[in-house]
Amino acid sequence: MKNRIIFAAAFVLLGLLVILAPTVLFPVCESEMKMACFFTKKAEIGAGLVIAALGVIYFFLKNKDIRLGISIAQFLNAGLVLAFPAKLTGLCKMSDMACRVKTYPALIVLSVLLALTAAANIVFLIKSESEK
Amino acid sequence: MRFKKTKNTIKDIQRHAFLNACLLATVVILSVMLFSVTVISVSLKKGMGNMRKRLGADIMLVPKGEREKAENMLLEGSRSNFYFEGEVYEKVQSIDGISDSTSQCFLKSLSADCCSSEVQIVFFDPDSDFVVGPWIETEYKQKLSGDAVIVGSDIVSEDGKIKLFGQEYAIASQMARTGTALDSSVYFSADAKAELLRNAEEKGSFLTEEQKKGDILSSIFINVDGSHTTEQVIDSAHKTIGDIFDVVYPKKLHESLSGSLGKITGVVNVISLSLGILLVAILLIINSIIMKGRKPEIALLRVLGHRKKDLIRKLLSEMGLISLAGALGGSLLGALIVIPFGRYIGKSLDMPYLGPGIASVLVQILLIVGIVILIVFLASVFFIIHTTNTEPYLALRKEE
Repeated sequence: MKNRIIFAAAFVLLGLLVILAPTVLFPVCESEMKMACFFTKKAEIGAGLVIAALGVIYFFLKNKDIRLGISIAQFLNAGLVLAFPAKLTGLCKMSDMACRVKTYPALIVLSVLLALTAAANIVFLIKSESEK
Repeated sequence: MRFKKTKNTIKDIQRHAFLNACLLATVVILSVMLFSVTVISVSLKKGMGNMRKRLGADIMLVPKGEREKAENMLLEGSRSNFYFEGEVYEKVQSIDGISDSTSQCFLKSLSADCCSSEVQIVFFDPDSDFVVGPWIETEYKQKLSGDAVIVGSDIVSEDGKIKLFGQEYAIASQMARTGTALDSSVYFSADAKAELLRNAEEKGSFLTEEQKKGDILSSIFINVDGSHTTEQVIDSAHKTIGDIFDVVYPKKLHESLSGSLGKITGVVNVISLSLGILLVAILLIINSIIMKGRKPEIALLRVLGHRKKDLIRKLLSEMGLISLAGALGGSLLGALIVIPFGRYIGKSLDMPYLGPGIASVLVQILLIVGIVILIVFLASVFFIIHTTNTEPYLALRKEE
């Protein structure tokens, strides 16, 4: 129960932060033209929603195997959070633009935190399974 | 055997989970603070050192009334357009007391390639240049021709080309990072000026009347030779070209910026020192509580025949393990925050900021792990010795 509450809360929080980072907390470049970072913002909103939704689902599941699966998915989602700005949708080309100065670092931090949380949960679940 | 010992130590630590967690948290905070403060101050100093190199001329002549813009351009790399007539440079060259002189011409551009942002275009004279040259990272031997450019470190290009005003230019070389917005400049040879201005106009960019003339330059960099003073050279310049210029002293600019850097690091040092003292005090308090709580356990172990030396070693290895984990975790956490946000920190401080490379981050982490372990050792060794020295009889009696 404790594990479910802690990790579900962590996933939901990180998912919300992934949504808020490029929109409110460290917004991408403001421009009338739709630049690369605009699409990264959209993609991150989607990724954040999925992460948060998986967090909510995680809370209601008792089966440890499914929870393990969700944790693995979250670990891969962490890669996606990073891959959008780094490779898939990209950012503005100039390195002094807001999206490179603020949004990208924030997404790096969030992605690493999500990967660490998911990895810790995977190890925890596998260990508790083998102790049975 | 060693592994088993470590496992036992971890079990011992888990037995006093709450207090040890407090100790770990304190160590983590201490390491995050130490790591961030050192990395930020080292990067600011590195940026400043780089800046001094970049401000490589004794004086810089700019059109009258444009001094502030020129200073901002040197310090922050903000983009500006201001111009002399082209003939001024030839006149300046004839002045006595000049050892080197070179001219540059700035042009604000629309975006490079897509739409990301403006770049500053700088035309310079590769033959007389002594300002741009030292920044060129990869040497290029061939003469910079009209369709090749040198770009600042921040210009990203996948195919070695950059598109400006509809025309592609090959990138001959990339400059080393300066830590300011000058990193997003594109440097052309002065010969390319006419063609580029023509292209710009064709592509519908707005050009001022001055820019349309073509024979223009924005600033003249001068080094004064040993036998003359800067004032003498400025005086003769006034006589030769008239009162049409303002003087910027790049080296003095650097001094004033170093002064403000000194103030910033001073404030940061005072704050981190007081925080550090507070954290060490917390460490001492936690250690004293932990050791007080463990007095009966230690006394029992001594009654059971454990040697004092072994007990001290056991307690020290627990502290060592906690401080190692805390210091490593804290440094990595600090790195995770400070390194990606480096540019943001530099921007908000309005200072040139050059982040550390991987090697120096690793050295920094090792150094901080060493320092933190030493601090924890010093903060606990007294309590450990005191606890193991207490007579078992007294320790056990007090607990009754």
